[in-house]
Amino acid sequence: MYKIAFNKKIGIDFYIMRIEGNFEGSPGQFYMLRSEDSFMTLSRPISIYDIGDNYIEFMYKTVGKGTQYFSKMQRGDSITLYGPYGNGFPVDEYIDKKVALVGGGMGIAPLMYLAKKLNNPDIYLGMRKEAMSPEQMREIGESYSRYGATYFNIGNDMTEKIDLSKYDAVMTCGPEILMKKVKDLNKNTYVSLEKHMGCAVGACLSCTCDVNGKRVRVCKEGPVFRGSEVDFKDED
Amino acid sequence: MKINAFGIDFKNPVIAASGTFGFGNEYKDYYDPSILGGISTKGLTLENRAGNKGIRIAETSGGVMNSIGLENPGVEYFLNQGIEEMNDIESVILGNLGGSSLDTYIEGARLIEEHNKKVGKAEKNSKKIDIIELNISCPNVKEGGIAFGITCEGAEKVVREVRKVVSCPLVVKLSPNAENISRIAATCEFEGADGISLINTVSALKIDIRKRKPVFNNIYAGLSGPAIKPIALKMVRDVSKTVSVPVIGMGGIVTYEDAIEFIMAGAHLIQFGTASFMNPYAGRDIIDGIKRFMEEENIKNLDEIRGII
Repeated sequence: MYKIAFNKKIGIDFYIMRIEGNFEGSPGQFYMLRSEDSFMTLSRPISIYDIGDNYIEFMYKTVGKGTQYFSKMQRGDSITLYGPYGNGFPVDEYIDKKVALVGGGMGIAPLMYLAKKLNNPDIYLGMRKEAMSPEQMREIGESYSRYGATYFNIGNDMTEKIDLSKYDAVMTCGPEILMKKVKDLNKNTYVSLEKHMGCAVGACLSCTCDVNGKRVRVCKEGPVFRGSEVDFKDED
Repeated sequence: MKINAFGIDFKNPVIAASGTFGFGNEYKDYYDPSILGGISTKGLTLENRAGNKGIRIAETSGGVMNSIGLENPGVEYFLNQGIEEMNDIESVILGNLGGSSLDTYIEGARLIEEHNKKVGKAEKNSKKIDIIELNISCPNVKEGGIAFGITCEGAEKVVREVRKVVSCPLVVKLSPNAENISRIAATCEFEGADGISLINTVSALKIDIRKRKPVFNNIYAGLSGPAIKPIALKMVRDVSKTVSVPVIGMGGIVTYEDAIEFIMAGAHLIQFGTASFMNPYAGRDIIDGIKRFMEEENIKNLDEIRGII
């Protein structure tokens, strides 16, 4: 069990939780979070937002009972973490290349730690206008801009305005409709998929899907896949 | 903690339940799977299956609902390739076998029998399937499985026919949705089952009121976890009092205390499943807990407390 350092609201239903301790993990990997006081049966898979000296941070959105419970937790409360799980983005391969990161909604979360580990990527973040106040968006945008030129798009389809073909690679996370558009704009796109999960170790097969004609477990072989190998039409 | 059941030695009574432990190695970052008494494989069917579409797992108060739909690579593929992953595991292997018709059950069982014979004669360098756990209780496959697990007539037919083709111990896994679980257990014993395992998940419903739709595409899904434990415990007691073959008890076992309750209710062995999702060390913790409990309570052999309720 670990202690929460802070848990702050950063949007209408967005939060960032910092947990004290030394944690491992690479961008795109995730942890399973649970509160032993909450009678939760399933832990919640949440991607790494940032790892620093003696802390890990998660950006999450309240979507159901579990994340609503998390949002009420406070500094000093205990939380249980297992992980890191999954494969993560291919950081080493693209560390010196020209990379664009494209995130929509909650999908911006894994891109912070990814931007930190890459070398000056261009960062495109999209958010529906009700999600955050202008002041909150400015703050979030500034935190990403420490690691690369950051463009914040509010309430519109940003893929129409940006030229993604000029990048060596694009790494994206967000709604499937966004990831599908992005992968059509650059052949070398990596997508991070989201699924309901049970075990996170590849045992329960709750999160399987077809990638490149094979059954894969999003928690184990993913969550990051080559966009060209994912057929979003078949996503169930 | 050692126990012999169905003529097979288990190092302890703790078995990983089918569908929650993959093919044995998925939790090895947490503990060595060989510490377990046994491991029941993900449910196998004659043909490979991609499983159900849509949401496959959801939380409910004190429980988990799933609708995986028996996704698996097929019996043949598993016996030729998948089983290699289990070669280093020193626990008893229960091959969980499902089916969609009488013929697919028989053919699946026959393939396992053939595999075991080849391994026995050293024609195949592989692990044996020590026990077949016949799954007539999966609630998530529309066309099959559970059709044989609801009535005594259904169970009678499939157990009789499978018994004819296999020589290894045959344990039949029962559904809490059976018309009369004790009678169905007695029928399985009469038809030659070496043991009974129970309970599989409870058929259940969850509705998304905003979408005005069921959460799961199949409408119903299987409920597991602590929520079903008291129901499972009662059924294990009822069945243990009815049959003379060993019973494997399961349904919401999360801690060693839960496991002890099932043993007191009459179970020879127990299985844990959903527990691993709550605590990836669950298997190890349950074994350690039973050991500690036996020391504290001065129990030399679990027979002393088995079925005392």
